Parts: sequence; structure tokens; C-alpha cells
Amino acid sequence: MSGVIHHGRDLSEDQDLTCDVCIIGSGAGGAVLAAGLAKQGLDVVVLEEGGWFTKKDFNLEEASAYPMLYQDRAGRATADQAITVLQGRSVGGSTTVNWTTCFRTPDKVLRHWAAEHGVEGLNSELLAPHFDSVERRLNIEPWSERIANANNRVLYDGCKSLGWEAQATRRNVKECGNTGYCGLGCPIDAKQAMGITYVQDAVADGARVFSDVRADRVVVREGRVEEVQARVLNRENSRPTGVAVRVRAKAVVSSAGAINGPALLLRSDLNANGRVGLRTFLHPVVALPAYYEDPIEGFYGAPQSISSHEFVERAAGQMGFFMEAAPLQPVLAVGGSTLVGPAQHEMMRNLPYMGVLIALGVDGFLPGDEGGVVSLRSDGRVRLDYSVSEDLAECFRSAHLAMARIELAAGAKLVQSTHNQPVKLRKEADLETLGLAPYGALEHPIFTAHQMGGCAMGSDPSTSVVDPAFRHHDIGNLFIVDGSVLPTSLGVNPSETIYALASHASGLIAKELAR
Amino acid sequence: MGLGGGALLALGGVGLSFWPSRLREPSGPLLCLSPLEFSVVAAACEAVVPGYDGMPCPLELRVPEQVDAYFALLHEGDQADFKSALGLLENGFAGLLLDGRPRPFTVCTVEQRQETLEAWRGSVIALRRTAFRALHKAIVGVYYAQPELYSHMGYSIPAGLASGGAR
Repeated sequence: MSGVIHHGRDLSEDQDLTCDVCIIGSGAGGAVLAAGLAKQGLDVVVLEEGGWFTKKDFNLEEASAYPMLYQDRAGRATADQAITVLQGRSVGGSTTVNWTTCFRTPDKVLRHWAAEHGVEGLNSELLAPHFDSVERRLNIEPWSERIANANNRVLYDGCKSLGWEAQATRRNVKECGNTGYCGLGCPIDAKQAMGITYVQDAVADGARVFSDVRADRVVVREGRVEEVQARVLNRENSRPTGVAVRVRAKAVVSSAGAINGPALLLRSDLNANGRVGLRTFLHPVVALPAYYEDPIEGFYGAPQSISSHEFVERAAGQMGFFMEAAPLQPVLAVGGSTLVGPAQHEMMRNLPYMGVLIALGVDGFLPGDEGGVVSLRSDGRVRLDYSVSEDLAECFRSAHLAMARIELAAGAKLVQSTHNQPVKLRKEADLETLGLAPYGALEHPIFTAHQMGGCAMGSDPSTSVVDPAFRHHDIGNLFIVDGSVLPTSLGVNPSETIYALASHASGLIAKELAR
Repeated sequence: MGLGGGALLALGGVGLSFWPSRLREPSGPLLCLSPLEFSVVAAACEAVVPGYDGMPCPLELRVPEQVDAYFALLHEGDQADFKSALGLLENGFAGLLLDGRPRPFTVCTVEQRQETLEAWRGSVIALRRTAFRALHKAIVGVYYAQPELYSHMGYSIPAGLASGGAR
């Protein structure tokens, strides 16, 4: 039996649906889970607040892609505007717009979760067949540094020159055209995003996917979810059309991601232990632009194909970081700037000669690092707060110094920091100046493309939201399967971890429903 | 945005300014901003991205109108926060007290507006830094997305690639 993907615009009357499992969200967690459950013969309904888009919709114009494919029309940020939040919003979630970098969960992280957060049994051996499975389905294979674009080559060559670790990443692509537009929706379906893989698998096995439908709340009675209440959205303005969707299911799964997922639970008054929204981790990112004699054209070519984990493990008490490159289409490039007037103009006029490395802080591991908090404002808007601690500021400083050394070693003629008062470096001796620059919220742009935590997994109901089987501690038929269950960040790009966890969860939930 | 606290100061201060604001005429009906708020955005656009070296002026490209359209599609709370920020920026009274700038933002020269925005960017008042970031992101995000600028930045979308055209 084949399912269907509904567009919100086709829903003119209220919908009352029943099914075995209702999954809220169709990203890395929801899509893999939906496919797994549907394959096992379960009747699955997926609610997705974003639209359903295909390559025909991807015109590669930033002006239209960001509002169409990102949360809050790409305007999502922490409450103080210090951290820009890049997060996808469509059928396929962030996988529609991510940069395809795939890593298995580091074994050390899984061991840390077991030792410090009571996540027992979730180890590399258990997850291995799930990693194998998703790697086959998504064609996750090593890229090669030989075909890395010039921006990524800076990272590779600079690290090698300094004797630091760097390697080509694995990517979930098939017949990649090396276009560089992963972040705007792949125009040639080379990226094996959820929309063209697991969502299609789920639909082929009968799943019903409702795009442009936002879950407002889950209604719980006597310890079980009775109903999911949702509304159809007008895709043009994200306002409710007035059409309601109500779903009654044997089990309900939140796969709405690490910001909207906790917000859904908070709207539903499901926060008995006060842990929902806490320990939200972001892999906070600082960028460092540099300018070269020859064109870099960082807007073309696979945007992220090299990574360096040289500094993931640092001295005791220091936050680790890893380094990658970022694509440089104009709006994304200027997002790393707070310049005004002539300085802003100069930066963008030299866009083809600019390369940008990024460093991602590995948050959630140091004692006392509680990350950020997702909450609701009085008017219902979701709010994200994330303080830049002294540890994180030190991490940013060290990361900037490391990236500056890489860029200079790779031949940069000018490194220019993203500070409000940019620091300019032309040689290693200038590093001292960079080290004296201020680091912290609103001192320089900070980004996140990796949102994790907020509904942490753990065995202790007083310190976590779901158990190691993804089940809510208090609500028998409510599960959470997405990046929000991660007890810490990962130190690697998170998509493959979420795919594998969802693959694992599909077996557990199907087994639970069969009891 | 966390800018709601500035609303009272913004509203109170505009009336105490010694100079009237300079209003700009939008090219069509405004969707979210008031005429004064639109004028503040337009004045800020001219300061942030004036259009040097033959780059088109943001007003020619109707960047302020697009910023208005962008905020019209956001949550009412986000709109209110942004409006508060614009009110604060225009506020001549607050400018006099905090910056020694008695004029409303809209009547300052481009250079004065650039100085004001840079002062806000590094202000000791967190509210101002937050407001600057919101305004700057909106302006540069709209301006540099304009295809008319691509050639000035040495950028182009490869022909035949968009909308699945390569296959």
C-alpha cells in the first residue's frame, strides 16, 4: 500500500486521523523512524510544519531559499541575537539544507553518556548495524581531499603544513556535481536528504505525510497521549489557515528537533520534572575569514569536505573544538560580519578571494557546562537563551588562533577577524593581537547549525526527559526521537548519529507496540 | 529579540526631540512598519550598504520595502521587538543623552549614521548591541541577496543549474 505526501494547501477541511504511530517532524530523526516503522507494517502519520519541496523548487537564490527552507525565515537566533541559528524547516528537516558531513558517534562520547548520564546499553556495538544500514541507504562514503574546493583545501593544506590532523569527510551524496549549493537545496538530487530517501521509503510503505502542518500540543490524559492537535499553515506566511488536524495514535513521537521539540512539550504542559528545554547544546561556531592572492570562490564546490579534530581533546578544563569550512554564497558570507559602510563594502567586493574556516565548540562536557535553555515567551514564541561562558570564550580565542595559523600557513595574505573591531593579521607575529581581542556574546558573530539536547536521554527521571529506549519517563506512549535526546553535544556533525538512533528506535517502538 | 524593554524609552523620547524626523516615501503600501519606522530602516540601509563603486543603492533596490515585507511575515512579537529597536535608534532625546547626538537618526548624514550604528554595535548597553545585530542582519541579508549585486561581487549562479536544470 502506498502512502502520500499532502500539501497543506490541499487540506480545506478539518482532519481527524487515526494511526498506529504519529511522528511530529520529518527530519533526520522523524524520516528514518517513519520508514522503519512503516516497513514493519505499522500505520504511520507524519506531521511536518515545513513545506514539501523538490529540486524543481530550488532556484539557488538565497533570497527565496532561506525563507522557504529555514526556521523563522532564517531569522532564528538566541534571545540576545548573539547566536544565529541555522536550522532547516521542510519535509526532510535540516537534511534538506545541511552540508552533507557525516560521522559516526564517537565511542568516547557514548561511554561518557553511559558514565555521566546513565545512558546504558547505547554503545558502538549496538549502533553498528544501524550505522551500516543508514550508510548504505544514504550512500555515505568518503570524499577526497583531491577534489575539495579551494576553501576546504586551505584547511587541509594548512593543517598538514603545521603537522595537525585533517582528513576528508564522508558525505551522503550520490553522483555529486560539486555545485556548492547544499545549503540552498540540492538542485540535482545528489544529496541523499531525507526528502528523497527515507521519506519516500516511508510513503512507499504506506505512511501519510502532512506537510505545512504544525503540531500545537499533545493532549495527555491519565498518563498517555490521547491526541495530537495540529493546524494547517499557509505556506506563504506560516499563519494558520483555520483548518485543524487531530491525530489519535497508539504511540506519539516527537521528532521536531532540539528547539521546536522542547517547545512542543512546554506548550503541552509536559514538564513535570522541569528538565524540558535544559541542557541545549549548539556546537557554537566562530568563523575566521582570510583573503588570498588567487580566487577561492568558496561559493562553489562541495561546501564541507575536510575536517580537523586536532583540538577536540585539549587540556583538562578546556573546551575542545573541531574545524571545518563553510560555503560562501553572499548572504551566508555577510552573516559573519557586523561591518558598516566602506568596510562592509570592501569585504563583499573581495568575496571571490575570501576563504572562511569555522570552529565548532564541543559543549556539554566540562563540569558545570549546562549549555542553553529553550523556553516559551508569554506570547507563545519559542525562546532560546545561551550564555557564552568563560570556558567557551577561551575556546573561541584558541580556535581563532588555530584557524589564523592554518590560513597563514596556507598562504593567506590577510586574515581578518569577525570582531566588531576586526583584527587584521598578515604574519604569525600578529597572532598576539588576535589573542588580546575580546571574545563573547555580541563581540563577534556566533552561529549554530547543530542543535542538540533539551529533552535529554538518561536513566534518572529526575535529571532527564526520556529513558534510553526513547520513552518519556512519565507518559507511556510518548517517545522522543531526534537530536534533542542527546545528553551532550557530539564533537562531530550530528546528522548520522540521529539517523542511527532513529533506526535503533524504530525497532524498539515497533516491539513496544507489538506487546 | 529581547528588545521589548526599549519600547517605552523609544516612544517617550521621540516627542522630546528638537528636530523632526525625515520621512521617506515607500514605493508601495507598507505591510508592517509605520512610515517613520520605514524611514529609519531606509536611513540605516544607506549607512550600512551605501552602494559604493557602482554597486546599486539599497533604496534603488527597494531594500527597505523588502525588510518591511520580511518582518510582516514574522510573529507579531518579533515585529514589535524590531519596531522598538527602530524607535530607539531614531530617538533624538536618547541620542543626546547617550551619544551627544541630538538629532533623530533619519536627519543625520550618512557618516553620522555610520558612527551611530558602530557605536551601537559596541555599546555597553546590551539592548543596543542586540538591536544593532537585528537591524544589520536584516539589511545585509536582503541587500546582498539581490541578483543585481552578483556581478559586483564576482559571483554568479552557474547557468542551467537552478531548479534541477543540470539533469
